[in-house]
Amino acid sequence: MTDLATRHGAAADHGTSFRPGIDWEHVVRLLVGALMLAVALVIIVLPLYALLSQSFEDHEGNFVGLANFISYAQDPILRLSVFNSLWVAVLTVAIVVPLGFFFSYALTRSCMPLKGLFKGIALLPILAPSLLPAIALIYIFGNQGYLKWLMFGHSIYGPVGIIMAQVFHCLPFVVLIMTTALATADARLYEAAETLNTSRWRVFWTITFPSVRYGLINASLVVFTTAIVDFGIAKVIGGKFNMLAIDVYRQIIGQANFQMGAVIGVILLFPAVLTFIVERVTYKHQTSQLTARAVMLQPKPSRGFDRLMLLAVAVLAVPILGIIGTAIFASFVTLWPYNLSFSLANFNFGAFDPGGWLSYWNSVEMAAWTALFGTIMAFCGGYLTEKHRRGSRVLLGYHIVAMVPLAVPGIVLGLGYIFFFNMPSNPLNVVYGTMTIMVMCTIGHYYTVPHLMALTALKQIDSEFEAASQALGVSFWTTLRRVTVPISIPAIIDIATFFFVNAMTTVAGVIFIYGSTTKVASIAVVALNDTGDEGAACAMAMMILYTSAGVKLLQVIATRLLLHRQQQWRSSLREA
Amino acid sequence: MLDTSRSAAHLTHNGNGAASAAPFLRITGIDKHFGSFRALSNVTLDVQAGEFICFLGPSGCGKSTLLRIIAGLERQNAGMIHSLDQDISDLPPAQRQFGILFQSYALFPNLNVRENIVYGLRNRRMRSAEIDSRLNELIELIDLKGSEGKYPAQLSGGQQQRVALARAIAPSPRLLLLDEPLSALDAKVRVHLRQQIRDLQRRLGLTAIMVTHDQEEALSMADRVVAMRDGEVEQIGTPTEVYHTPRSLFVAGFVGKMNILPGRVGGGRLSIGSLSFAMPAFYDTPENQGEVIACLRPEQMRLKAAGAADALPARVMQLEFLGSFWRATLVVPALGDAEISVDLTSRDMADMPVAIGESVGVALPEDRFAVFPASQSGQVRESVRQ
Ligand SMILES: Nc1ncnc2c1ncn2[C@@H]1O[C@H](COP(=O)(O)OP(=O)(O)O)[C@@H](O)[C@H]1O
Ligand SMILES: [Mg+2]
Repeated sequence: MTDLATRHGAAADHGTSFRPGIDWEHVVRLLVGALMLAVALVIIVLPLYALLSQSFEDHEGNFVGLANFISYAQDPILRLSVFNSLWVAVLTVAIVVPLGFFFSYALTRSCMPLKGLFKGIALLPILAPSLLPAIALIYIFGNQGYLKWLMFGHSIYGPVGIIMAQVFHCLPFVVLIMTTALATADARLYEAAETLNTSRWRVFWTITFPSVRYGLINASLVVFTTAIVDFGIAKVIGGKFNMLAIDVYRQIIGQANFQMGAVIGVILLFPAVLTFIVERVTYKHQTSQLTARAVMLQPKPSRGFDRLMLLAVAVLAVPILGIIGTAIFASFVTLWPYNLSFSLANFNFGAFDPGGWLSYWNSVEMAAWTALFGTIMAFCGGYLTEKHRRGSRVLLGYHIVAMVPLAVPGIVLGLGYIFFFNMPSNPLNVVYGTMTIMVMCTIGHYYTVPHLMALTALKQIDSEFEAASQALGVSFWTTLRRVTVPISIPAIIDIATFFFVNAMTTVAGVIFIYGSTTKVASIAVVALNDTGDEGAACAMAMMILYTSAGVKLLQVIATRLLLHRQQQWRSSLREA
Repeated sequence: MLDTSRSAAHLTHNGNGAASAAPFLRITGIDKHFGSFRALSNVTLDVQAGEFICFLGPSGCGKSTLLRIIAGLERQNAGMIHSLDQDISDLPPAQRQFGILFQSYALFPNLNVRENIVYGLRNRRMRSAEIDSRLNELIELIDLKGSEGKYPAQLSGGQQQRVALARAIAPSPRLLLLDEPLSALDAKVRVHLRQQIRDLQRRLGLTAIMVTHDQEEALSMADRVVAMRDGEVEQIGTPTEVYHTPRSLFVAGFVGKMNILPGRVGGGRLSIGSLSFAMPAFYDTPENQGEVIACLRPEQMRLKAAGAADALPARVMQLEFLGSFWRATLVVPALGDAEISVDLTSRDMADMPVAIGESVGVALPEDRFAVFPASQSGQVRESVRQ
């Protein structure tokens, strides 16, 4: 009683003075927003700026306009790389997009059994570094490959191997995009067509295909960009076949020709920028397809069709499992193909590489820091952007910067990091060669997707929570801590997992900036493969896969447990 | 204008004798389960050619399920559907040649108005000149001239539903099925479109079945109403039958406001409070014995001056202004102090103004009583919940 009375008194005291004081909420919001923007600028924009300016300068740092680009265009070997990269990417798209679409169609529009298992198989490649399929394909189709006869005398080293590995590597992207696009469909449209006596074929082309058109465009662009800018696959299985990303590496590491490296880096930005623009334009269309009154399509069981789909999906799963199985097998044999007895020798990394197991632990450490700081940044930034963006230029600027990495290949950002952090005049160059710069680069490289994940999760939380607590006189950070974060925990775990897995598998982003003490596992795979220790390379690649898979599994379990525990209030959330 | 729809054409082909014997649609003993949940049980219904039927009932009572079974989009667990003596129970939707209109319009978002409307015609491989003339007729019919090139997202809800209607009737369906076609629209648009649909159906001689949970919609549009509750048909009848002589307390309460008075039946007389009335013939059934519930609609009673000869004394407890009329709540001592609602038109109010607390007289039209066994009293709440 007394407590209540005094509180009332206090409230009344405050109530009498409506003097406009300092709006602390506003100040905090502004400061945090400015800090986020500053960090985002440092890890994303300034390195890119350094790269761009480098491409317009000569060795002495004088501005030379387009001279570097002109000399690039005059070099027939380099020109060939552009052509090679283009047709390899186009062919990869042409193969993997229909396959992924078909796979997703079976998963979403049939009643085949074991959907979860097959979706898991299709997504498995995400957990592995892109080097893994390349190495495994060498084991399968290489000079001593067990299926070499299937190549009919052609060599796996070169475009054939690159495309096969890219298809493996890119399938999960297509399946993720297409299962999402195919999962949301209005059942009423199909029923209307059915009562109008429409053939299956026409239904597909007038309803199904148009509704996933943008998904297909996006999937194609994502695959195209990934294939053009990928470094790891071409490095391992490309042989003498030149591609753009390899050229960057050669120019920088081999010839120390930074200007030419920068020029190729700028060229590599084009497809990604194109993807970025198309993605932005189509995004709106994609979301406006379904009205609130639509009824979700549930596939109906149909024995023949479901069996056919199961069979087709199973056939597609064989090469995926074959590639991973080969890598597992190769990592456990003494010496392929001469001595196939079981051995753990390949895991004794110290015997092949002075870094030994340290590279693996470096990877884990880097992934952990990336997940920690990346998640904090992406969530805080997403929160401010979603809930407090109105009228704030700082936050709008932040949002735009956060979208940039989607258009920046890892190898290009890594290159930018060399130029920016190696500048003697830059006070930040103390981080050069440390774990810090690796974490910064990895966060920057993968920043867009977590940013969007945070935005999506926060969008689902009614903005009236904020309004209600403001009306109650509660500061926004209290609402953030008490309501918003608890509701968003699954999304936060999701974001952390995304950062962790990508940090474990990335090659291109860190190949230019690792130091002797900060070499990571994926780099070690490249090195081991270079020195001909394929068994150890396989073992290291598998260690990455095991770790990513373990973290992913933890995420699934943690989220399940959490949702189960919070079932009561979450179910009410869904109804609202 | 539009050529006669196929249903009518079919009838004339059939000649005179046979067609009149078999109803256009005969639904017998339909059962439907979803897992252990019984969505429909033993639904039986005849639909005559050219009729407009409304399925009326609270949401979840199985109206849509029944409609979807008629359309062939859902398969019944038991029961048969015949159309003009032909068994169509197992026909796929396409072969039934029924048009269907959904609450969500379900227009193809990527096709414009023209392409949506002719969607079903293309499936029938009509010549393009024929398609064009048909399209023009339909566009005119739904009043959307000039919007042929627009996409669904550029149209209002009412316009979208008109396009969906045109798409459904374009292939001259034998039967038009409408699943709450108006409930997503604003009140004004809804009333307008209600008339348009009914008008069109009459002009084209279409047979139609519409699902709705809005009793006003059902009463104003239907030739016959099928009142449903918990997957069963409670009553089939014309709107006036359903409104004035409901078969159950549930139907009585669902189609409009009812005054509920506990009473007793004995010896062909209905007694309420201290009064006794002749039992209305329609409700004089074996079930209506002993404890009963007697019902009267508020607009069937009249207010008179206090002490009028043929009126019961009453006191006004509440007055509610509802726009076109007033609703007065009275306490009538002769009815055992029961509270009843009485509707007054604005003219009644002008002729004899009443105010809260006043004494008045109320005349009961005794032949208008609806009487149900007291065991149904639980249905009151159900019907109001809607
Ligand atoms: N596909 C289905 N699976 C399971 N239950 C269903 C399905 N369709 C309808 N139901 C259930 O059957 C009942 C009747 O549904 P419905 O016919 O849609 O009702 P109405 O149209 O009268 O509102 C509801 O309780 C609904 O939950
Ligand atoms: Mg319904």
